[in-house]
Amino acid sequence: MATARCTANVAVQPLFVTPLHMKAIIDDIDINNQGASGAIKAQVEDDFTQDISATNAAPVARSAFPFEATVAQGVDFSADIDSMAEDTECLGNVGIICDKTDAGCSIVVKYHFE
Amino acid sequence: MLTDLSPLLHHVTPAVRNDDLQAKKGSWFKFSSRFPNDQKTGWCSGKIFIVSQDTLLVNYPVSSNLVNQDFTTIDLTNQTNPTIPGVPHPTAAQQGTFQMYPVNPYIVYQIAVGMKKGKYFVVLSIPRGTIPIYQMGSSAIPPSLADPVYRYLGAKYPKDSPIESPTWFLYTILNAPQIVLQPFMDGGDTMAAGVLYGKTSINFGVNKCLLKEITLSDIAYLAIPVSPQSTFTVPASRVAVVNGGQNTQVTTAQRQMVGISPGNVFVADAGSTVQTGMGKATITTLKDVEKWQMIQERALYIPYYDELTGF
Repeated sequence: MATARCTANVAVQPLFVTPLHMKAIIDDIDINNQGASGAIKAQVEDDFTQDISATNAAPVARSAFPFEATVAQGVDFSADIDSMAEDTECLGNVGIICDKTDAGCSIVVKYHFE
Repeated sequence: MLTDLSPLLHHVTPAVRNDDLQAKKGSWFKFSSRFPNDQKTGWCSGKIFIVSQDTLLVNYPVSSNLVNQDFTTIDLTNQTNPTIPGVPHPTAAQQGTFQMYPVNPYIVYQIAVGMKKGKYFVVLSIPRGTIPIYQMGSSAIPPSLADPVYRYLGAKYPKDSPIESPTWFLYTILNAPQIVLQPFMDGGDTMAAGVLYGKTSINFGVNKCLLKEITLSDIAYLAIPVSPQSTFTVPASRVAVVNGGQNTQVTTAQRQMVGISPGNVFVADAGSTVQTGMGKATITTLKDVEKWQMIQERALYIPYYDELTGF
């Protein structure tokens, strides 16, 4: 299992790139908002390309947001693979995007490829 | 042109490993006589081959990100420009075929189809544009990806041939009919803008085998040139005379046992006299004939595609 870390930012903070022939499975997300100035909404963003197919003649860029959590100020939120409703799977470039920029909120994502 | 694990089970033990299913140096292939005996595939039609040198395994992964209820087409032939989806993502106009056919005769590619876990299935058609190979005989229910009910008929799922231990094999030779796989996304892994997407990921383990044709005379260890119209005494306990002998003691049962054209093969008893015809006679012991029969029975049979449908 690998780990990627960033702080809250309104711009996408890249975490990792999913290899071409694999999927990324997020095993655990920790959002530590104890040092931030307010509540923060954080989303996992997965940017991938839809390949050509029977109904799609040209590759198309897509963005998925497979996980989202709003964490109150002073809270250390954690969700692991058992507490998520389903496996959080990603297909492309994975990052974190938040509704605020705040260096006091740190986000740690644990993941693996399969 | 394809095999599943089940036809091999009478050749292997319950402790079989996946590696055991891969052809190796010394493995035997028997091609169907339904391969057209013409300039294209005549070199293999109805013949038996041995893998003459160590094989070379080339892993060839192919993946696609698809929307739910959509499919893509993987054409294994060399007929158009090459393509590997995703590197970089081609457009429809750029999409070609996957170049998994040998470019010379006397080569077979044994392709293990290993599927990664995912919410998809795969449909196989030979040749391209025909209804899938895995079908019922009834024309009332032809499997079609456009049909929401019958698209599942004969579908192959990742659990049927997992990437860790594939049991689904395709065989390609020069000029063989097109083999086409169509992965169909039936669910998905992630949602984007209210639409479900998923990844199909298939590894084609291309085991490249160089072939050498074998015949009964190839396995004989005793070959005696005989002058025209001469006679000789059979030296072994029982022998078969191939290509040009005469012997009145041959029975139908013996000919059937030999399993080769009765006009060319004779079985004689010990001490009997055999009168040869014109040219050379090859003397083969019955032991060799039995080995030849064993090779014919145990060689991996490669059917022609039209043997796989219509029943």
